[in-house]
Amino acid sequence: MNRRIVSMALTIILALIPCLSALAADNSTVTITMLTDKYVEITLEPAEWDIGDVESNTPYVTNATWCTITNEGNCVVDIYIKGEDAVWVDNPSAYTWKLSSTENNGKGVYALWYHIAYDSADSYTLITTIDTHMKKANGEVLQLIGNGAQKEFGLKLLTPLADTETGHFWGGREMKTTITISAVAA
Amino acid sequence: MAGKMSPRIASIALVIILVLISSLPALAEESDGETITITMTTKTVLEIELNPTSWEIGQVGPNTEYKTNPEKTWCTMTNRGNCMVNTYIKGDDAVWTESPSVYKWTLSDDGYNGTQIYVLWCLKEDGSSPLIKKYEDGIGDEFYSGLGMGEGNQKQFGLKLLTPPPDYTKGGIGYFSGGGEMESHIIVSGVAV
Repeated sequence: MNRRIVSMALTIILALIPCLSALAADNSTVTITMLTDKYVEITLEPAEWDIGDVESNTPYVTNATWCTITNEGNCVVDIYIKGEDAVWVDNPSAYTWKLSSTENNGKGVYALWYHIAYDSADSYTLITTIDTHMKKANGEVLQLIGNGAQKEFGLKLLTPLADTETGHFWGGREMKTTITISAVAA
Repeated sequence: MAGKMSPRIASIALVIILVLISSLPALAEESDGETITITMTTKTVLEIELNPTSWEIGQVGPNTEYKTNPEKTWCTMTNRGNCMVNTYIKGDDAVWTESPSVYKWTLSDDGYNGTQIYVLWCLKEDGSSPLIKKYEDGIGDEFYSGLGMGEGNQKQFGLKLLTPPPDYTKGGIGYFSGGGEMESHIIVSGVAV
């Protein structure tokens, strides 16, 4: 090897040695954690479904994006849903429809379902009187992550079977029911 | 000049002849003596230890200052390596652990807080309180220099944090949009001197 090239190579190697020790470094980390106040609030829009006249043993369905749930709080929330019996507005204790717990309607028994928008087509989940996590068809729990997060859903209602003998489907009576949707900090 | 040997060449020839002469008896004895030269370089070990490594502040409110306890000696930095080091410090944004991509506080680079901007200071034993900044590249600002071994291998410091102002107010109470846990990190690097 040419003596000049050897000298240059040696110079480069010698120059690198002090650099290597200067570049070598070790890191240590301090982790800081802090807790901020949680605030839970959701809104529903719209909050009313006025079906109009209904017939016995007939399903009524909203659009899949009919209702929007909005997280107005500042934390991740799980969404729960429950229904209740429908009552005659004029005399609630005199005439009611029981909310089905089996997906089937009956005499004096109506059924309610929800469908989360953009979930599998026709994947309706039964609403019962028991407060239950809203879930997608694949079982994934519905969560709203942070302020402003939104989800849409629709409803389906199946009226009771007709039974004129026992008066389980009286005509001309305004029936009313309420669905409660609640948010719990995850 | 032809036919006359230079005195310099003659001297070299003489040295070679003398070397050969001294080698001849050894060759005659059918043995030889060779040497092995060993060289080595001690490996540099760099290790910076921090104790403690976590600061759990607890519940925090908007626009409020928090300090470690004790203020200036809360954390002990020890050089556990075998060389003198210079140390550097840098911070990072604080993220909402529920969903880091949704909400975070940016680390201030001017000492002032703002909407979703928080401030971090280092509280040094000499009474100074340099700002801790974020560096995407590089190892940060110079912290303690010439941290040695044995005696003098330790330095202590504390931290001060100022939270951002509230993102919104409900019922007269200020809230952050990220309710729950916020997390941040400070990185101390040691570089061999």
